[in-house]
Amino acid sequence: MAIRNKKDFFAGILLLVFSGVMYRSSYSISSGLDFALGPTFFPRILLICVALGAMFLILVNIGFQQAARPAAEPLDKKTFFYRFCLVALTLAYIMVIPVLGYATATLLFLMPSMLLMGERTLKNCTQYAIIAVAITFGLQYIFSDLLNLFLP
Amino acid sequence: MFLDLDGTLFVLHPLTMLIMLAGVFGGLIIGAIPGLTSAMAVALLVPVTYGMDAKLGLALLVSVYLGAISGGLVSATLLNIPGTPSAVATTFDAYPMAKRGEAGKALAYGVFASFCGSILGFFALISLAPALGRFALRFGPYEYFALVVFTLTCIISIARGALVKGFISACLGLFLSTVGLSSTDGLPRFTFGTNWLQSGFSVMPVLIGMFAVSQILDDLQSLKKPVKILSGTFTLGEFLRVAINFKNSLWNMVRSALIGIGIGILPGTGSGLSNIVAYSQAKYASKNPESFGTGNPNGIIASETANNASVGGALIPLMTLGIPGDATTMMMIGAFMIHGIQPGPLLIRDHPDLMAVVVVSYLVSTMYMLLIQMGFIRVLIKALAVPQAILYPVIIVLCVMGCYALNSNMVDVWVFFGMGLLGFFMKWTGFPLLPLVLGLILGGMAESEFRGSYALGGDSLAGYLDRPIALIFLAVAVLSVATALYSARQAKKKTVP
Amino acid sequence: MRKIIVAALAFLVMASSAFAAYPEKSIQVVIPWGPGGSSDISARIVADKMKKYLPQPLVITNLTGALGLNGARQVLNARPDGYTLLWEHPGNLAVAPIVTKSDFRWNDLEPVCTVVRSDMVMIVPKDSPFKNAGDVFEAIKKAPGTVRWSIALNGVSHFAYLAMAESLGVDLKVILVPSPGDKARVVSMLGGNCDVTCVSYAAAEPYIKSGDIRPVAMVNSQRSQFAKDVPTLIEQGVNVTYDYLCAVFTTKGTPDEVREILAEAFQKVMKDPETIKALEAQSFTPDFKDRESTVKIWTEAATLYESLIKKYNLIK
Repeated sequence: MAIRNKKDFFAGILLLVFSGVMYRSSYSISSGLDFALGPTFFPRILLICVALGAMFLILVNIGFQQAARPAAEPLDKKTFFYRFCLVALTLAYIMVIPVLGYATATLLFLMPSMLLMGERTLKNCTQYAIIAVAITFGLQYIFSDLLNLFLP
Repeated sequence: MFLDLDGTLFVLHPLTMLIMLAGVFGGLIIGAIPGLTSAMAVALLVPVTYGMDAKLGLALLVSVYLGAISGGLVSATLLNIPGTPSAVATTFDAYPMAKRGEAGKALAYGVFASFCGSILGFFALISLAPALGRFALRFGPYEYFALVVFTLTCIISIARGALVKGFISACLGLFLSTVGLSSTDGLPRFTFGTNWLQSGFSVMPVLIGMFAVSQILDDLQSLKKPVKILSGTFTLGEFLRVAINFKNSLWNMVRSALIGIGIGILPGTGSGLSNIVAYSQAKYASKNPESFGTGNPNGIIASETANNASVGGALIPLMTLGIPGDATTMMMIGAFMIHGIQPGPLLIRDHPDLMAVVVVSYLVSTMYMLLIQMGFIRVLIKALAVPQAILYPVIIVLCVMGCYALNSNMVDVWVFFGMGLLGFFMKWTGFPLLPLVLGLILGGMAESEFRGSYALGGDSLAGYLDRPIALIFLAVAVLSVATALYSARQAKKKTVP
Repeated sequence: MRKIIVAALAFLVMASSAFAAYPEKSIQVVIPWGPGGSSDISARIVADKMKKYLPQPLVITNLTGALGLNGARQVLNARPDGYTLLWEHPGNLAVAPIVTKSDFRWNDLEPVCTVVRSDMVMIVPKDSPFKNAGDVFEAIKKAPGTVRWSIALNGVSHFAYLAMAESLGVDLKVILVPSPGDKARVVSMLGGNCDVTCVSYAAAEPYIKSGDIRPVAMVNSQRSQFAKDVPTLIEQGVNVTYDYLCAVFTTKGTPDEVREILAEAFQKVMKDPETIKALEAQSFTPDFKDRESTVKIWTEAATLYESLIKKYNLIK
C-alpha cells in the first residue's frame, strides 16, 4: 500500500479531523428556535460535504501499486528562509501595532523587511529609509486626514 | 426616457466636471489599492457630500464608484492581487500576460473592456431601467439560492486543480461564512465563547490575505535575482490595435455585459459576482478553453466588461425602486437620504434632475476613466519597475492598514494574516483559493435564501417546483458540473497511456 | 505644607477645567449599523445641526456587525470621558445581548437621553385583501399556516409579531419568512413573497406613496404625524405598541457634569426648527426625553422582550 500523493493524503486527513472537530462544536450552538431548519443545519451539511470530499481524497491516494512519483520540488533553503522571515516580520508587525501605534510599528516593519529582501548597499539603504518614512507618513495622512479613518 | 435638461446641464458645468474628474481619479486609486473597495470609498464619501448640493454629491459618488470598480484592474494585472473583488477574474489572465512582458497590452484590453462594459451599462440604464427593475423584484429566495448554487458551480468548474479540491474549497468557504452571528437567527455560531469572531470573517481581509500574501510569498522565490516584475512598453498605437482587435471578441463582450447588467440589477449582487460568472461563461463558450488562465485576452475582456456593466446594472434598481443593486449602491442610498430625498419608485417622477445627473455623470465618468487610464498605463508600468524589496513590504503595510480600516478592528488584520498563511498552504497543496473566497462571500446569502425558500414552501422544498427560473439555474448548475466532470475524465484518458 | 496646597489647587483647577471645557475635542458617535440606515440618517442630521450648540463637532462612525453589538462594545469599553456615544434603540440593544449570550446588557451603558422617534407600520401589498389589522388576524385564524409574515428573527419585527400574538391570546400560525432588514422585507413584499410585515415607516414610505404597499396599522402608541389616517393597533383593539425611540448612550462612569452638558445640548438641538424640519423630511419625529424617562422606557421594553423570549423559547 502506498500513498500516491503525500500532500493530498495529509490534506485529506487534516480536513477530516477539522470537520469532525467543528461538527462536535456545532452542538454547542443554542438552537432554541428551530426555525426553518435551525442554525445548525447549514454548517453541518457543509462539514459533511467537506468530510466526504476529504475521504475521497484519501481513498484516491491510497493505491496498491507505486504510481509514478511526481517530481518533488527542490526545497530551496534560501527561499524558505526568506519566506519565514517575512512571515515572522509581518506577524511581529501586526502584534506590535496596537502597542506602539501605527506610525512606529510601520516604520519598524518597513525598514527591516526592505533590508531583508533587497540588496544591502549603502545607496539602497538610504533609499529604503527615505521611502519607509515617506510611505508611513504619507499613508497616515491619506487614511486619517483625507479619509477620516481611525488608525491605531 | 427623457433626460431632464436641468440635470444634464448641471453635470456639464465646469465645476461638476472637475469634481467628477477628481472622483474618477480617486476612485481608480482606491480601486487599485488592495483592501479598499468601492463600497468603502462611497461610504466614506457620503458624509462628505452632506455639505454639497445633492446633485453634485451624486455625481461625485457615481464617478468614484465607477473609478473604483475599474481601478481593480491595475493591481490585478501588475500584482496578481485583485484591488477589489470585482477584479478577481481579471487576475487569471491579465497577470500571466503581464509576466510575459505584455503588461501594457493586458491593461489596454482591460481598460477598453471596462469602457465598453460601462457604455453598455449606460444604455441599459437609460432604456430598460423601469421594466427590468420591476422584473428583478420577482427574484425571491428560490431564485437567489439557485443563482448562488449556479455561481458556485461556475467557479468550481473553472478553478484550477481537481474538481474535488474545488468542491472542498467551496464548502470550506461556505462553512467559514457561518462563523459568527447567524444573520437569520441572530445566534452565535462557532465563536468558541470569544467576542472577536462574533462578526464572522469579513470578505476583504480573507480575499486580500489569500491572494496578496500567497502571491508575495510565491514571488519571493525569484528574489535574489533582481528581476523586474514586468517589462514591456506601451504606445498609443498598441492601444488602438487592441481596440481594433476587439471586433473578434464582440460576442464575448456583449454576453459579458449582459451578465454584468443582469447580476447588477439583482438586489444584493453586483460586480463582485458578475466578473466571475462572465469569465466562466467566456471560458465555456471559447474554442480553446485551456488557454484561459494562461493569458487569453478574452478572459480579461469578459471580467472587466462584466464588472463595469454591473455598475450600470446596480444603478437601475436604485433609481427606479430605491432598492440597492449591490453593496456600493446601498451606500449611495445614504447619500440620498442625507439630502432629504427618499429613494423609491417615485424618485424619477419627483426628482427627474437626479436621474439625469446619475445617468450623465455615469457617461462622463466612463469617458474620464478611459482617458485617465489610457494616459497612465505607461506610468503605471514604469512604477512597477520598483524593486520587489520595496514594493512588497509597502503592499503588506497597505493591506494591513486597509484591513484595519474596514472596521477599526485588529481582528480583521489577524484574519488577513491567518488567511494569508492558509492561502499559501492551499496553493502549496493544490487547492484552489477562489471557491473558498466565493463560498465566504455567498455563504450568507446561500443560507438565508435557502432557509427562506424552505420556510415559504411550508417547511419543505416543494416551493421550488413552481419557480421555473430557479429550476433553470439549478439545472444549468448541475449540467456544468456534469460537463466539467466529463471533460476531466476525457483529459485523464488522454494522459494515461 | 505649601506643596500640598499648591498641588491640591492645581488638581482642582485641572479637574474643574476638564469638566468646564468639555467638549474639548470632537465627540465620536458610534452607529452600530451601516451608513444610510434609519439610525444613521437621524444621527447624521442631529450631529450636523448640533454644531450650533456644542463647540466641538460630533463625528459619526459606523461600526457594524454582530447585531449592533460591535458598536455597543466599542462604547462599553471606551474611556468614560464622554467622548464616545452610542446611538441605539431598545428593540435592538435590549435584546441582542441576551440572544447572543453576551457578557453585558443595555444597562451596562450609561443612558444620556432619548432623541428621536420613528414610527413602525404594519404593511400589506397593494392588492392584498386585508383592509385593516383585524382582517389580517381573522385570515390567520381562519387558515392557519398560510399567511406569510416576514420578520427578522429575534429582531423588532419578530417581537412585534410575538407581542401581537400574546395580546390576542391566540397562537398566530403563520409562515414566518426570515428577512433581515427593513429594506429586505419591503423588497420581499414587493416581489410577492410575503403577505404582511412590520417595518419602520421611513423605509416603507416611498412605496406607500407610490401605491405599491398599503399600511394597515401603526404599531406606535399614537398616530403618526406622517400618516394621520392610519389607525394604531391599539385603536383597532390590539394592545401592542412599539415606539421606535433612538437614545444616546455613553460609557458607564462618565461624570455627571459631562452627561448633563450633552443632554442639554441634545435638548436644545431637538427644539431647533431646522433640526425638526430636516428630521421630519425623513419621517423622524424629534422626541427628547431625559435620563429618567429613558431608563424607564428601556427597562419596560427589556422586561417585555425578556418575557417574550422566555415564553417562546427563543433561546435555550
